[in-house]
Amino acid sequence: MKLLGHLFWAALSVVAAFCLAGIAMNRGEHINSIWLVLASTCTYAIGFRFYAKFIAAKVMMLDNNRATPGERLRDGHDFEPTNKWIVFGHHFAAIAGPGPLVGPTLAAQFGYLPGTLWIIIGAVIGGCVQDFIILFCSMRRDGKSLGQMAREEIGKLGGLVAVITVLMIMVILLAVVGLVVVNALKGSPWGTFTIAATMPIALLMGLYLRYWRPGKVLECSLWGFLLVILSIFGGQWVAQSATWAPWFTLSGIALAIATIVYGYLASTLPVWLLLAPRDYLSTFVKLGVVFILAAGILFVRPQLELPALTRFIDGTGPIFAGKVFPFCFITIACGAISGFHAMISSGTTPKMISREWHAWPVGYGSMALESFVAIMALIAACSLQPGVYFAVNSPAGVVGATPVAATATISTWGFPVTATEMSTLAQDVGEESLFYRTGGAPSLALGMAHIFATTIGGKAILGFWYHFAIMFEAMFILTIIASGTRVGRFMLQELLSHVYAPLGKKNWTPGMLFTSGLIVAAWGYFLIQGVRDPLGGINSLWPLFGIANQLLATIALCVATTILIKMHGARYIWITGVPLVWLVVVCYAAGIEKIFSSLPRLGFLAEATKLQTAIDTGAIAASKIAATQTQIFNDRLDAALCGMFLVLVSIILVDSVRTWVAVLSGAKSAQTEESPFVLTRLTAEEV
Amino acid sequence: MKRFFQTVLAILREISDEGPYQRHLAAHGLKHSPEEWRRFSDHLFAHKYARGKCC
Repeated sequence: MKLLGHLFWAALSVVAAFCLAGIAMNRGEHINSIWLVLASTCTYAIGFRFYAKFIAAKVMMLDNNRATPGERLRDGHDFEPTNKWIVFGHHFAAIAGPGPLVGPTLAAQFGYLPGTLWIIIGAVIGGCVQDFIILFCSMRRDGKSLGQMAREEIGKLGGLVAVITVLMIMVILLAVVGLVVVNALKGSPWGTFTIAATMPIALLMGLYLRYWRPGKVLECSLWGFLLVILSIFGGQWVAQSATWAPWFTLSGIALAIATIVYGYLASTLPVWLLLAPRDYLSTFVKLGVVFILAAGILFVRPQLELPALTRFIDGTGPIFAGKVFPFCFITIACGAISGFHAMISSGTTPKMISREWHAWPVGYGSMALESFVAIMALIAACSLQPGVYFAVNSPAGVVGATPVAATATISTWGFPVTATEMSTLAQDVGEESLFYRTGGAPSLALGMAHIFATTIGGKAILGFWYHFAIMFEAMFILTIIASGTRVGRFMLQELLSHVYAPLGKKNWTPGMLFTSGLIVAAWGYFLIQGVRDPLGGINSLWPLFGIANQLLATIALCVATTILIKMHGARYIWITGVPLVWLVVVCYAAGIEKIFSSLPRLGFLAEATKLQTAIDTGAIAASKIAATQTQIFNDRLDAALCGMFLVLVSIILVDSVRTWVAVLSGAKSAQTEESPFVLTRLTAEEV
Repeated sequence: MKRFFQTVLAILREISDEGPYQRHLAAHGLKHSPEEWRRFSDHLFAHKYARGKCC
């Protein structure tokens, strides 16, 4: 039996190595997506079985005899020992967001190879390890949050930096995901109607759950899902109606304002009325779509049409500027490593673990699955014809303002596409036009629709599947906007309570309305900036979000490294040290380029200087001077924000290194804040 | 196969907060009522939505 086990893992290793080598070395021929599926799943399995188990046994020394916080602090609410597969599903649902879908889609501009390698390698030695170790640390500390652990293990400064970072990330995150939705829906009456319809559906669900059938969440979500499907058909009818279509054909600015109003309402209305029912619905739809997409990819096994590497690895890409290093690693955040996951791993999950060894599949395994979602998104994007992919994702400011100009520019890059082809494709999916839809969501929806339609229904229902995919992406992005605005409001209320105490009361209506307005204004400003940006907005905002998210991962890895040093000295420092050093290098390289690059498309300050020179030399028409000055201000604001991120990285690093040196030299106690050992009393039946 | 579907259903019940609600009722010796669900969900949502959704 043991020999069979060895043979199985040896065979799996050979398959993983063979597929990875095949992907990495293949040039000139199209390859099938099944290579990516096999390479990734086999590598995750080996990472899980060997690397994660080594960390669990030798480094964490997980002990199933030790009572977890779920058992010791059991209260029937937050702390509750729960079956490991249920915790796994719950944790995966909590970490799965739009990041692993949008990031790989955008990074496909470099070709499929850089993204695939980073997603697989980054997850196995970075993201999965981070999630697993933070979950372990929190589990051994009564389920404490990342901020609390940073304060206790590193110092007060680390904790403060963590809070400021989260607030700043929240603002940029909400703006950038809002921009993804706006770009997906502008000029699309079908999509706009479908998403607008999810608002009254959510309100109806809220009332249903509160007053008509309290507690029947699954039943209510099923009704909600059926209504959403009906709304997709309704959207098609609206788009074809001469009377109704103009009402739902909105510009980018109009959609941005609608998104801002929605964020404000979601932050101020009772949670049970809008946010909670939306959250239930979007979570179920998200999980369902992820598994249907996996089945669809296995069934269709699409060929990858994009090459392994495109010419844009040199930094001249139309979707966002910057070379493959460091920008591929900033663009793909959540699919490889995400700081935000550390918040979830130190949130509800550690309070639900019933046996310490369950942290192994929950922490490491869930992130491996999330990484596989990123691989699927990459496959969906790369299965599009390259010309189509670039026509959808490139802004007018780069490729030209008319379909003919855009297709001519893209064809000169070696990716032939015609305006007629794009027009036919737009008609097939029920859209007026698919040009300049930056943000990743529409191209991902096209790829997904192609896979779904090949599996069920064929070309006749391509439009339905496209809008189903748009609905799926927009629905959970809007849930993130709703909950993020609310959390941002709470953080702001807490900060402002030091200035005026009543503002700290979460239920004080004037304070709630005021702080909601402030937080909405903050991310709304960046959203409007992105919508007005002639380069599509994604070029400036997505790298900022990527840097911010990786900065949070840096904080999480600093906390994890500190705890490993306190447990074992320098012996296992490489486990978190290697991904930490990589992230620091990537964050600094990307941040410095975004601020100081002399190329106007890449460097914020260079673009500001270029625009200022254009004003000074009279090259800008008088009617556009005010708008140009706003753009100059925005460039400088983005540069300042990026600089602030780098300062925050430096502070947390210096503070952490100071602690590590003090612990290793014996100047500071290696005592951790771990809870004392208590023998478990849970029986095998209870876990 | 039956066990697999039972686990899937249990995950869905956990995500939908129906599982935690049943545990809450059992832990406190309570019976389901509209008022109890509202009390439970108000408490739950206050904690749940004090944290952001993952990106």
